[in-house]
Amino acid sequence: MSRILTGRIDMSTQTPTLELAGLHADGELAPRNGGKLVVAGLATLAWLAGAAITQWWPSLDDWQYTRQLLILKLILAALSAVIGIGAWRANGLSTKPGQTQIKRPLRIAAWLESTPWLLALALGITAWEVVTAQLEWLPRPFFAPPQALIGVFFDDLPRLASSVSHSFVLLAYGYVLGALTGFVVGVSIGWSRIVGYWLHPVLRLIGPLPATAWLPLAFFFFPSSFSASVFLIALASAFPVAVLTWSGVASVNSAYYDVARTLGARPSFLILKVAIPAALPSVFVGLFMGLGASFSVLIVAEMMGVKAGLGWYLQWAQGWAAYSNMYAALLVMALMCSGLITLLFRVRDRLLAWQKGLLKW
Amino acid sequence: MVAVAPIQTAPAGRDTRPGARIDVRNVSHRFALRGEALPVLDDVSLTVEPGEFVALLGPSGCGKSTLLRLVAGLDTPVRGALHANGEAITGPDPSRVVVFQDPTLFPWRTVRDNVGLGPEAQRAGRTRAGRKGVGERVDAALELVGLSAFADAFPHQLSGGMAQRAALARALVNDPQLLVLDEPFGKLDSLTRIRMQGELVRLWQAARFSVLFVTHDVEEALYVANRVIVFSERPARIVAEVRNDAPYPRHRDDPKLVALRREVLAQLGLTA
Repeated sequence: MSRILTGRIDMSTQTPTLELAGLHADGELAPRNGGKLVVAGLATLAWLAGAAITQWWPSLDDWQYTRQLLILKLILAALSAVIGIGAWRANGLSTKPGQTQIKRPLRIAAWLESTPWLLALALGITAWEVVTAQLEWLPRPFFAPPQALIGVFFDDLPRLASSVSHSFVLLAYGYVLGALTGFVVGVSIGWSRIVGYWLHPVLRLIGPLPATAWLPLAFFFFPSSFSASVFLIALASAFPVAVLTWSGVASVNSAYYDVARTLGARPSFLILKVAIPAALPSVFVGLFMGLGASFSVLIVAEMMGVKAGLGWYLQWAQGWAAYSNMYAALLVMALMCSGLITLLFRVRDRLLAWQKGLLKW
Repeated sequence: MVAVAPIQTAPAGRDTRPGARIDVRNVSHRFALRGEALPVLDDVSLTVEPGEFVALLGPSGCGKSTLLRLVAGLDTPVRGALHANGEAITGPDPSRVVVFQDPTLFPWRTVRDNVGLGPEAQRAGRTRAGRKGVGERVDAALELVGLSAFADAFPHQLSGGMAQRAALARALVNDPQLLVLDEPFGKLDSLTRIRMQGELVRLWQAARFSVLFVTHDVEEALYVANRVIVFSERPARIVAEVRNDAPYPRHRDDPKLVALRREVLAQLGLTA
């Protein structure tokens, strides 16, 4: 939770520096690109070498889907080669003597940026494969080779997909409900003294309690495990949203209210058109923290009571000692959580485009 | 900023006199500071005639801005009464608009939407015809302060002078009877300040609203105002009134202004 908060703060404070760094890199593209081109070449070779190992160094056991792993490696080798060749040709164009400098297409530059990662992945995945499949240095059921993960995605796709959709629906209900509640509570505490008097102590007492502590009670009180989980997720996400919305509303520059009041604004205008937009940057910090909290409650709730979703899938895979399925589920979970955080970042960038330094033209 | 015309005739039903008459009668005010009463205004009485340009001059922190907040209706005095056109001032009203020292533009709104704040808050644009009228008034106000090209910019993209012009347009779009200015050019560089003073005088001459202008700059007060009211240190009392009949447009080196300047500085206890 706190990591997400700092992540967000880093994003907002470092954006200008990042932009500066980007401009800097743009200015001296040529010298650095030579290095990146070599890396692209190395990545191609590494993927090809990895493919050769898969092809000609037999595993101790007969793993299905080794062929698919081979194909994947060859595709990534081809990708690295295409990036390298594309960048090399663009480079050649721009450094030809007697010709005006042609600006390198930005897309190739972005792809070229990713080549160190392609190289690292090639080495990492091949090493992983060698120690699990070819040498079996790592104990067998707990450490699955990469082809086993591919196997899970091929064989167990329907179950994984339905788990993802169940998790997503549960999360969406809980998070949307919690974020809305937290937002309304935060605005009312920040705005109204009476509401603050009554809700603030409740928030202080209940808020810091981990939502998972309610788990046994919730499953008892609610008619279904689904509604109980929605409640828990909503509870977990509402608290940070409420606190940060409240703090945002409370710290609005009072001169904004003076201006609006002299221009004839009614209280509803002061809340909707002054307090809330001014508090929005802070609200988004709360939304990020709430989203992080909601992930952990989601998985716990699915492990404990809900009979579907990724948390349940993990539990189920553990029951069958299907460790490759667990790795696959973890990977899917990571992609889902990171995708949702990215989505929230996009929404924030759009809504807060007015903020200095965030503006992208 | 060359062509100057009144933005629009006042909407029907509103008092159509161009300038408001402001009466401040025996007003005293104090703040509570750590449990102690801190007097800021001491028995202040003054009148602003319709269409008059009155400058309130005094040392920084003497309580002039407090008086403006009372006139604007943002605060109520501890003692005394304030009237606008004979009616008691009980709260803020868009006919008496304030321009603060900081532009306080809303950073999440474009310049155009900032200028349109008043009509929006007064719900003037709820019908289609109303929206059109508001749009025209906003455009006219932007034109008036020379910001038409920056209508879609965000406040952080403006210079200090441009932001203060936008704040002025945001006030003018309401077609005010009284413009209350609280050291509006205090944070601008000196060249921009001189230009803005001239523009303000031209706007006032065209629209003929009344103006209450707080400043601690003697030269500025004498350049813009019909009448300069000099305040003491806190708690603010009126120590002198200087009438300035010099015709507009004025020149800063006009010997009459120079003589008045000496007089005012003497009233403030400064012999420069």
